[in-house]
Amino acid sequence: MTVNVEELELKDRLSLIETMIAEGRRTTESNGWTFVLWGVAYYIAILWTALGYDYMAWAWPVTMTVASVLTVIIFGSKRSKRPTTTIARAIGSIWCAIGISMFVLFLALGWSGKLMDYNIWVAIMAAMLATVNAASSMVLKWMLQFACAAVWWALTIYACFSGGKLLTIAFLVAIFFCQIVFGIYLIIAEASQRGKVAVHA
Amino acid sequence: MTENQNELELKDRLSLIESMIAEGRRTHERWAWVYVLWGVANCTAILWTALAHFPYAWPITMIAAWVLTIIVAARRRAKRPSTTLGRAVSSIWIAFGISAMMLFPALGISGRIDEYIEISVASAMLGMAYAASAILLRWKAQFACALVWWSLSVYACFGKSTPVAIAYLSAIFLCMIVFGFYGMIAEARRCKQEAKHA
Repeated sequence: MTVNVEELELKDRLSLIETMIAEGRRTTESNGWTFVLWGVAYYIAILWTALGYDYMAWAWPVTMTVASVLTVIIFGSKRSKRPTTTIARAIGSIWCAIGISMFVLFLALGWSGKLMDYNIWVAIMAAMLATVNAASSMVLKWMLQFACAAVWWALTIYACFSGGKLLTIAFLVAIFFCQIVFGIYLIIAEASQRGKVAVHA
Repeated sequence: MTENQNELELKDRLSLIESMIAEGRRTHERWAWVYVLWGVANCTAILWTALAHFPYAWPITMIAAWVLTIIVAARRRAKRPSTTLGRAVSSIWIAFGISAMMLFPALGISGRIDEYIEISVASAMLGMAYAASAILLRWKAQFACALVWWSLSVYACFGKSTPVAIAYLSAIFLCMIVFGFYGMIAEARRCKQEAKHA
């Protein structure tokens, strides 16, 4: 009898964890637009810098500030009224912490003029994006996001030993797959989920 | 009736979240020795490099720290099932560990980085891991450590050689060794209390 009760409790616990993970993934899917927004922002900043227009030094600070403001505004308007789950809170805290860290680090490095080497900049950026994608994918048990983290880690190492145009191409490809394609995939997944809910309602 | 039920459900949910956070903190305290171990390893590597100018000081101490972490973690692994928060916090640290293991050796071997950028990047990444864990566990002491790391990240970009090195050693002492001991003491106290109540 006790064994049966324990087994039932364990099953309840497992199903609760599975529900939380599924809810966490849905939360990530509903924020898929942020991946696309930031991917496009990186492209604009890279293009602005590469084309060498006036005020080139402002390319990154301006695009990153605009992307941050847009993120905050859209987040504010899209905020759901449902209570957040523990896993969604975990994912939120990871992205919030990486956002602050990247802002502090790149602002300080840029302002002090210490970040003159393009390779180091790509390596640091890729390592930080890998960290956040890997942590999030481990929490959500999501292989696809872990694959994105692996791409960013590979770019981290590649940036240290390669250079020039090839590195820029690799960086652009990584942004395309791990930000834009992954973001669009999340947006589509959320839309099909909504469609299913509407059909069942 | 429905309102009362909703209120009860909400209270249940809140108490579940609170108990999960408390359990997450307890899991974290059980791993406090890792902070002390890595704090001592970092200090050893810095002092070894500064005093003996030995080029392999960092790789040797870091590999030794990894091996020790794996051995002690395997021996201390609790038989209790891990909680969702415990799993989330460990994911943050595992991801940080892999990234640090990829980034710093690659930068070191390629000879692209100077010590200021290294300290700044390491501090920013540590600040990220500490802050994510602190927000998750609602732990002010850990968030204070994150603030120390972020401040050091900025200071390393503008400060001079010796003061930056002293600041780095102080941050390691405060945020790794002292914070680790604080966690270990909290765990020991809790174990004593549990033994008394048993």
